Amino acid sequence: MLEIVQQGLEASVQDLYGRPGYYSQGIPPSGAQDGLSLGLANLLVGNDKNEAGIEITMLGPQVRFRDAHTIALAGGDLSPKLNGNPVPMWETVGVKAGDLLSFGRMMNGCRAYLAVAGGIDVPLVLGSKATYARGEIGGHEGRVLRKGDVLKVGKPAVAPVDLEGRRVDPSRIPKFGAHADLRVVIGVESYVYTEHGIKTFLSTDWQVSSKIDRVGYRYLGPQLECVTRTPPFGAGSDPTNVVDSGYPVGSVHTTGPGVEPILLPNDAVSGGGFATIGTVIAVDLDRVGQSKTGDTTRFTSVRIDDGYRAWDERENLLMESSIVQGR
Amino acid sequence: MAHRSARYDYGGDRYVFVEFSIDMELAQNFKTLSMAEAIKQAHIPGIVEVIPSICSMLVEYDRTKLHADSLIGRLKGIEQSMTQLTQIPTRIIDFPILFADPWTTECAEAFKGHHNTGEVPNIDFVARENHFPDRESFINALCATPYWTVMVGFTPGLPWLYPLGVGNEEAIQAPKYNRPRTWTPDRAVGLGGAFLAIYSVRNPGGYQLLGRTTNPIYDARQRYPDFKENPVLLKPGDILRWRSVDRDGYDRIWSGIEDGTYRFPIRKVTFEPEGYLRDPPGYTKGLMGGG
Repeated sequence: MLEIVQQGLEASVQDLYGRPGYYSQGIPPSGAQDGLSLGLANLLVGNDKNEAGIEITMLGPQVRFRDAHTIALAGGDLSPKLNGNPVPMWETVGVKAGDLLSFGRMMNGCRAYLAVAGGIDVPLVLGSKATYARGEIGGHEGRVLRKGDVLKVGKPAVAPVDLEGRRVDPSRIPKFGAHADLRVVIGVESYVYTEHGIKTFLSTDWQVSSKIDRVGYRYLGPQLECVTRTPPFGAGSDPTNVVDSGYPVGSVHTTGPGVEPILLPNDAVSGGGFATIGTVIAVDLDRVGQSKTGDTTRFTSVRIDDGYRAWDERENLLMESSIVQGR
Repeated sequence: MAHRSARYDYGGDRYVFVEFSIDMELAQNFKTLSMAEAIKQAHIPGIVEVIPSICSMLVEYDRTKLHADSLIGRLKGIEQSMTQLTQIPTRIIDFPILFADPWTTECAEAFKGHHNTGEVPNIDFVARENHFPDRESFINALCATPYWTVMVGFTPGLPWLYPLGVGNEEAIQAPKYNRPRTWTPDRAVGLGGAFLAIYSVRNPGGYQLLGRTTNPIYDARQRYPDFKENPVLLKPGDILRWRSVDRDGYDRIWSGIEDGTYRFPIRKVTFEPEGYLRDPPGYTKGLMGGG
């Protein structure tokens, strides 16, 4: 078991693949915003890659372990410490009952992942352990973690002694600089934007705003030129309004003509009345989850086959072959 | 305007987007729902989910089993084989509503500065915008109009509702707030453009607030009997019939919902889009008249 003794900014229980199949009812997939990092942390401690861990955003909580566990930390570097001493990431760490995990300055990235051998033991809701806080389902009581929460840990699949000294192959550790390049498939309702507007979208170094969470990432930059048109009946009054349609997870739309693109990550709202300009390929949502306020982001147009290929490459990283034993 | 045939596009590398019309037309919503059902019936391996919206849909697929281009080919085949709109098995559900209730009134008061005129409760503003002489006549007109669920989503279980049996130009309409509210009570019933919505969770929003219904539409903990199978009550095609209740009636139904003794009056019906489109007012009257 482990206990949250101080809350931090936002920590929640998440798995890797979330809760697909309920989007038509307005329930998004959820799951780790940087799935690759959670998956690698799980593999380190002998878990299934889709097992539940804790997603820790920007300002970490303090976690007290009540029993001995093998843990691993991955993702953004939030200066993790064990009993006040720096603790390495991307490798297994043995903790004793009473040990305190805390975090300090955000050095790079935006989200760290804590995996515990055996996984965080929360009930499956609609097939997943992922938290969807806005819909109050999944994870620990359908919400982000609070001071005083006690989480159970499942039975480890691998004996602790066999987990000692495991680390991620250094060549396979993702890097999170202050600039993210995201690959996007232009389309859906891109006809609402002019050619010039789309060119502006693809040639701007967008600034990541302070409005970033699991539901939306908002970017600051120039206004995108939209076509001149009368909005269709039922759509609303703004030229970028469309009759409410589905928002793909990873899609980008603007509000009120061509201003401040919003990207919808894993807790996306499933539909609405703003014109989608394009959709970021699934694999690059990992990178979105590690970008933070003040970083820059550039969108590059790609074809769907580039997305498929990149996804296969990621799935190939999420295997035991990415883990090396010993030093 | 409706497209002669649907427009297909990629929604990134996980979805295909299918658009029947860029305008709100019930006929196109019926087509969207018919095709969504036909796609499900085709059991195409690799489809994760069909996600219909008002006049378009997303189809999520598993890229390890299915390429978007071959999926689009299959979908076009289904579209071409749909020579007429299929019957839609659906339900008429009773929705008690307390108009100008204290909770949405308090919310409207809190966001007065975001409202077009600052009028609280919003229902009187909406009644006047639609040329009703008073609140009562507006309520009577609304309760006489069944509303069709054109789409479910935005937040879990939230229905987008459109009036049945009236033309676009006769639909009750209202502008949205100038600036959205940062919260809205759950079960609040709002009007934006010609659409009604019921807020499923406490959430931001910009629709004019008319009242609050007793009926939960999303039950995250699946406590209530009608939610044992699924935390979401409504499906596209469900028909809502509004019933004005006073505070006593509201409280009585609500306590029955809380203790599990109140069950929503639900009547199963088969909706025939072709019949509706031939005579919207007459068909609607016949459909609703039986109960």
